[in-house]
Amino acid sequence: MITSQYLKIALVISISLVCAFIIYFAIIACLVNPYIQTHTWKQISNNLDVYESNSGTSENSIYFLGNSQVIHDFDPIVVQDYLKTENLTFRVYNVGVDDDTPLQRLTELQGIIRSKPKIVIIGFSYTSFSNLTRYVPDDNLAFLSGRIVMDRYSRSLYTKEQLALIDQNVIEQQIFKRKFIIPAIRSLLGIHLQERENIVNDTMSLEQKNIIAKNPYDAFLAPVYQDDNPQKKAFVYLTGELARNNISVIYINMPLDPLRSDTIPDSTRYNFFTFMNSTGVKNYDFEKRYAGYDFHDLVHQSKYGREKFSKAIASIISQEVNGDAV
Amino acid sequence: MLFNSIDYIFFFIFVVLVVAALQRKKYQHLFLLVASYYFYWVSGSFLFLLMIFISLVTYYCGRGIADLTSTQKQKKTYLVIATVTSLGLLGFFKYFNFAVDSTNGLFAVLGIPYSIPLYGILLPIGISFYTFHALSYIFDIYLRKIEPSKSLLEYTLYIAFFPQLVAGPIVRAREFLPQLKNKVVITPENIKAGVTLMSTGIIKKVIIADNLAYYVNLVFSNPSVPIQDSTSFFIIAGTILFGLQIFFDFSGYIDIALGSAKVLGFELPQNFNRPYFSASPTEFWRRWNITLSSFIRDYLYIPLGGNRKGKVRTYINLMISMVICGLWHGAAWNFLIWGAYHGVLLCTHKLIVDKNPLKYFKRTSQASGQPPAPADSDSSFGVRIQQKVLKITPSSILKILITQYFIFLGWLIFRVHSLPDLLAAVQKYLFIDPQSVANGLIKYTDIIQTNLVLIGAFVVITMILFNKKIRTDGIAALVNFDYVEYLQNLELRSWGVYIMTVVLVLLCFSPSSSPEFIYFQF
Repeated sequence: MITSQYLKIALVISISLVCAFIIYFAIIACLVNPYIQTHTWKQISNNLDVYESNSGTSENSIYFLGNSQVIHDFDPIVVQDYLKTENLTFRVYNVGVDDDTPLQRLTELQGIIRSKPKIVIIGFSYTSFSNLTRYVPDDNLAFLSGRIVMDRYSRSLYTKEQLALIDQNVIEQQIFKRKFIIPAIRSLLGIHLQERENIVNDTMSLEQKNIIAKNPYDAFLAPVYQDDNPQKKAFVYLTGELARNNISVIYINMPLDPLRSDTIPDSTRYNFFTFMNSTGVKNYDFEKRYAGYDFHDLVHQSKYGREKFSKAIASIISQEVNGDAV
Repeated sequence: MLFNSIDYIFFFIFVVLVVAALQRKKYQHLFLLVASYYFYWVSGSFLFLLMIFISLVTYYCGRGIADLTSTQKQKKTYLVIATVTSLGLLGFFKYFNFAVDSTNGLFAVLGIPYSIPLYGILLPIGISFYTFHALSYIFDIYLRKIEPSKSLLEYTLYIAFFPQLVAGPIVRAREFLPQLKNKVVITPENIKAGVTLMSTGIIKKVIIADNLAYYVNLVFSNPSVPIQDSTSFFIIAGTILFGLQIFFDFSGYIDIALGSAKVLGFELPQNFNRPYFSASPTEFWRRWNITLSSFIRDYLYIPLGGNRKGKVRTYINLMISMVICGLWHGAAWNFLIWGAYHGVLLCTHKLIVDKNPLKYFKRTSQASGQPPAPADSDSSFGVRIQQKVLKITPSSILKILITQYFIFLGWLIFRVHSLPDLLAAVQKYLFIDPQSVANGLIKYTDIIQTNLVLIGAFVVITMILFNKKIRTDGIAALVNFDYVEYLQNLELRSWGVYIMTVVLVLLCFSPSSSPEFIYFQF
């Protein structure tokens, strides 16, 4: 009698566990998976799809990769149209990802090489090369598990925790997705993240820009020092591998609002360009090329700025192509 | 090995299966002792040897005290040896570096160009708890409240018993040792009751405390926004959230400890009784960390004279007790200040009560639903809760709010370790900047809305489940309702639904990383 009681309890606990997991996976499939397809992961997933679909084709393609500044500032249609007027036919892709860094892009390196683009343009700001930004969002790494292959050197630049995320199995990846349940519920209920709305939809007033520019703790002000760090190593390796595979690489130091630019220390600028020049990568400095009205916040351009910047990039591409650099 | 880890679940299942399989009491106890040492070794380090040493010293000193052939002087000598050894080791491991650091600070202020070197002394996990276990045993033998244990195995198991080992509750020898007289029997009822307690503890820790920790750390451990630059809104929100975090973290731990012990057939004392419903600081200490406050009451406050030596001595005794209570929590100035702050709160409350005792006692007693203090205890400090019913009236709500305002100010002191930061934070807590609060509420509407939706959903589900009870007994009955007892008595099928819900909630809402229990550091 008592033994059957023990068995009943064990059975009830086991069935409860199984049911909980079934319901959980149903929640992930119905609520979370559709949700994450609309955010940063969508950008990364799209990029991987682009590389995959371009592999084995003879299409002339150009990738512009970088952080949210690239997403906002660069319009591939403007560039394609500009190049057409010069009888140059290229498929141009904006493969920017929010909060991107060179280290994160190592995950895409093999995909890029396999798709054999003619030119890869890389656009970052100083902060992406700071000693303080070994940071790559966990989500991005976790979702990449199962979709990417990285060589030994690239893996050596990641921390043990980051590698654990990249190497997750399918079950672990599904469990990891729990962190999106609340954002997915929020999205379902129409509760949006306010800060993000400000950036995307509203153009900041001068007063707002001034307040943010004066915040001494802004992550964008992370300094660049002289010494080496994983981001710099990743950049050197990334550009080196691309060049080794006959892919032209151009680096663009992305435009900044003058108010933001004024807060960047000269030492950061000096250390950064010393590093960039040492890499041998052709680079263009766009940091101070545009006025405040070309930006809708301190680092992202408005649609006017976007058009100007895209044309400038088109002109650089044209020079590259016509100068037989490709 | 954290209680809320998969490792612990496997370890615990293994222990339960082996104990159930062993037929003889002695082997069961021996296995539990080995398992407890293993648990400590995995959680901490080789420093479990220190625990064994303290166990041996206090065991033999206890026997010496109780020995009929010992003279009074010899008994005192044994008492002193046991106390000095236990407290000396606690003092060395916990307070040596603090003392050296403070002395060096004093040297610097006085302009003395000398500093004593600091040593990398590891704090053994749970030392404050097992030292107090050992001391309660020695003191109770000396006070002739208990007979010494005749079995070294039973005594060492009392000190090392893994559910209570690392962060309490502080169990008296007289509560635990009698339970070792019988063979450990694992019954289906105890499994159900224990698992229910453990599951509520895990929910408290992982779902509530750990999720709150993220926001609390944004305020108090954010390198991007130092405390001194934080707004009033952040400090107040961070303080409230930390108060909730520490409660759910610690009481979650205690629930898992009590549940683990329950499955093995042991009863450990409750440590919390709705502390944030306390209507006075005195009542708070009857409801918060009950085993610690009653330990300090019985072995420090009352031996110092309690309230039997006049008003001034009572206040002094209260202050001494609370400062030591603060220091017990950790070797840092903020814990000392926190203890002193609570001493001042208790003295102030006592002063108010003394001025108008009849009126206040009547009201407090009504509000808290407590019986008058027992004759052998002291009304100022740590009287055990004997009745759990809380009466919610407008005046008691007001008293609760005023009391909790000051209790939460105490949590701010507890959380902020640097003195300049603490001064800035306290200033922002006391002198609220309404503009920053309004701005903060607007800025974080999304987070507030999301949490309101989740809490609202929980409340609605609770109301539906207990609809009948609310209709018959009113909303206040829900506050007083013993949910754990209700859940553990559910019919097996319904209990299964409860377990499934717990696992589902853990799967869905547990944060990516779970920090250690806050009380592990003490």
